[in-house]
Amino acid sequence: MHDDPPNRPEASMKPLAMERMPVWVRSADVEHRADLTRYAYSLSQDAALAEDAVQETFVRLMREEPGNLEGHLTAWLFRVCRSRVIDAQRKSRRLTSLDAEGLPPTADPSALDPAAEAEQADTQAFLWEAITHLTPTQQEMMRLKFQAQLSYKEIAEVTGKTVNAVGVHLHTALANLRARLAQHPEW
Amino acid sequence: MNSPENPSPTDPRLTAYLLDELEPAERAAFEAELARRPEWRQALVEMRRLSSALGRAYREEAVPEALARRETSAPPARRYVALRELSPTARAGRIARLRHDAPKLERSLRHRFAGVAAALAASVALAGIVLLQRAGESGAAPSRDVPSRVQQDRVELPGPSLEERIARRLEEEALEQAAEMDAVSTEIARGLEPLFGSEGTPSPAPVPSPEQAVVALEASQEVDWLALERRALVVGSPPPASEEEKEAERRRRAAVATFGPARPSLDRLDVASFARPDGMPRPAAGSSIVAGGFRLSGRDAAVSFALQVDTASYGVVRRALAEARWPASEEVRIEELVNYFTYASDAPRRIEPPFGVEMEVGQAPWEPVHYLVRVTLKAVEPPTGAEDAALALAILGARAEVRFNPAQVSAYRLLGYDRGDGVVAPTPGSSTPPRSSEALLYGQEVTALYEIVPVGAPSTPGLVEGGRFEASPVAARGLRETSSELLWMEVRFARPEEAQRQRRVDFILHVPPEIPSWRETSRAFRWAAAVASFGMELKDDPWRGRLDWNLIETLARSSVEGEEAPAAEHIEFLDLIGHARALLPGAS
Repeated sequence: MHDDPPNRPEASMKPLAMERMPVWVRSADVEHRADLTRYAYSLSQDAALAEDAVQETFVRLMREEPGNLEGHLTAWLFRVCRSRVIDAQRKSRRLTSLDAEGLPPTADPSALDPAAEAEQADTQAFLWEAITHLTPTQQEMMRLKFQAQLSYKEIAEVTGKTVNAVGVHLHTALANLRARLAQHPEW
Repeated sequence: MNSPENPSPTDPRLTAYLLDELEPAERAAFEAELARRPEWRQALVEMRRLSSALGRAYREEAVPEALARRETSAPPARRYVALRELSPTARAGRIARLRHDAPKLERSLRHRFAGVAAALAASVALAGIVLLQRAGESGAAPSRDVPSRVQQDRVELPGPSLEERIARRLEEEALEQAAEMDAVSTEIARGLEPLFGSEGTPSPAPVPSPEQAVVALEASQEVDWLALERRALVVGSPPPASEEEKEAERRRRAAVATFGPARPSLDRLDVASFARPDGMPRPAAGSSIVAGGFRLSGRDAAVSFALQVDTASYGVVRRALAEARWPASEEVRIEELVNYFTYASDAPRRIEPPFGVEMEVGQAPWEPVHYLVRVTLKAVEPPTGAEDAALALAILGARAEVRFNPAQVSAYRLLGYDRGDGVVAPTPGSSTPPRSSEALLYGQEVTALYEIVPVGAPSTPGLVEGGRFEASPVAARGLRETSSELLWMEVRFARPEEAQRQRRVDFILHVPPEIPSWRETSRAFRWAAAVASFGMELKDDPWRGRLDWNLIETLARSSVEGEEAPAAEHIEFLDLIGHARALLPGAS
């Protein structure tokens, strides 16, 4: 069933001391946790679920042989994290699929006041607003590319799509953003 | 193609080129074409600007409010740390990625530095990691002003090639990013030198494997193997700061079951020694059930419950209420209602044992001096690739029993199972035959709820007479101090491939220092309690205390409160509560 902190059982278990973690897991934790959490959150819009998914990802990482992950640790982390999010969502039956339009946007465009929007001199805010108009798949790939800095191949590995599809998605996303930003005087 | 309406050239190679995703041959072909297409070059200028802005935007992205509330502090800014500044083990941990990214980096460098790249590229053949380190990480070396230095190098480089000419035009906006990348490359090239032997092979410091880490952990403390995994889930979270938070944390922790290791022997749950010691409360003659399904733990310390639970009663009740009819008492089977829903927070991933158990204790919402215990057993999911895995495990025989510690538990009852499904296990003094083994299927989940009358709890009027459930002298003499276990769940099972070899795993639920109120329990607990209460109210259970429809609805609503999209089943159940209330006398 759905479980949310603060009552989620896992969240209340005694933390394992960081120094007891294998060094390579700690290193990965330091390097990737924040990115993974945001990624998981962008997929689920559920902070508790996102953090749990990331926790579980690192727990799984502990069980891996470091040698087996050589060269694709980052992609592995994002892929496992993604599947954790999907699993958790299936469990809570909130969403049936991450594909197509199943994902909520990273922000609610309607939440922006039109008047305030017009006055937005901050191009970054405008950029974020523009990103919300992309498809969920495009948003996910944008994040994997520009936040996590994964390669096409890695993004393909994470999302289960082909490298070509990743290329097309990202290209379309950038093209859409350009078109949208072209309307913005500050841009 | 480049109209105002659609200013984007539609060739995905543009983006791939921008993001350095083209293979050398593709890149060469693309660049040849690029030279002939000014509109592409113009587009690339804009796209590079956009790409740069995007990189910045994601780097500086505000933490979503929902996450920020859960973080003690904002994520520290990133900075570069030279490889040689890392500890030997940290270096070793990164070697794998260095090697992986080398070809890509080399390509990138060749492109950027054209004619002069060869020497550098050779020196970084094994390099490529972007050494991002969170500032403030323990042991991190002081920051260095690397980018500006390398930026200078960058400007001095000759760049007569076509690549360079294009790059110079296009990279004004991206110069900062490029410099950062180059800075890292240089750092790596320098930092790697002492790390690699003359053959160019890395000699990383030994990195402990997970197994080694676990062994070390095991040596350092008594390890619950299953608990290890659970604990590990909160690796990296900051420790609670204030005393209040610590206390809250302790209480939450205490409310959750220990996912205990398999116990080698029965010695710690020696039921025989608990069975009817002097002064233990005496059950009614000839019956192990006192009233309302309550059993005395001093007499029946163990009870088994069915692993296979039908859920048909839920449909029957739903149909009745939809027809504005109160379901008959015998139609309402609490265990079937409860198991219509699922509760396990996550599927067990272990091969051995092939199931996990969640246990949780809180106040019984309808009788605050009683405890309510949720026990959820969940079998592993079928192995990947197995087509019809449910059948493959279906000959697996299993049996689950719950044993109560009489030092803590005066009496208990299993909610539901009115038809004898909850059979008292063969304990000394009991003649009830053992429950036969049942099939355990892949992915199977079953939840049982126990209401517990703790030792020392005030008597419930009508349930007991004359303080029957007061602490027994035995308990008062110190068993309570020596044993904090509330109950044990014992699961026996045999793998289909080795039917003769019966195994056993125990799961232990300890008494928390303070029993959480139902509001402090997990959502799963509250939902299970709501569904069971619903059944108790429909059945007119005589021991439902202060339960009423308001409480049932509060329980259910609190369980799904704040959810963006509650499951359809949950919404439906809330509707059912409404239907039932509408049937009450006096309802409009």
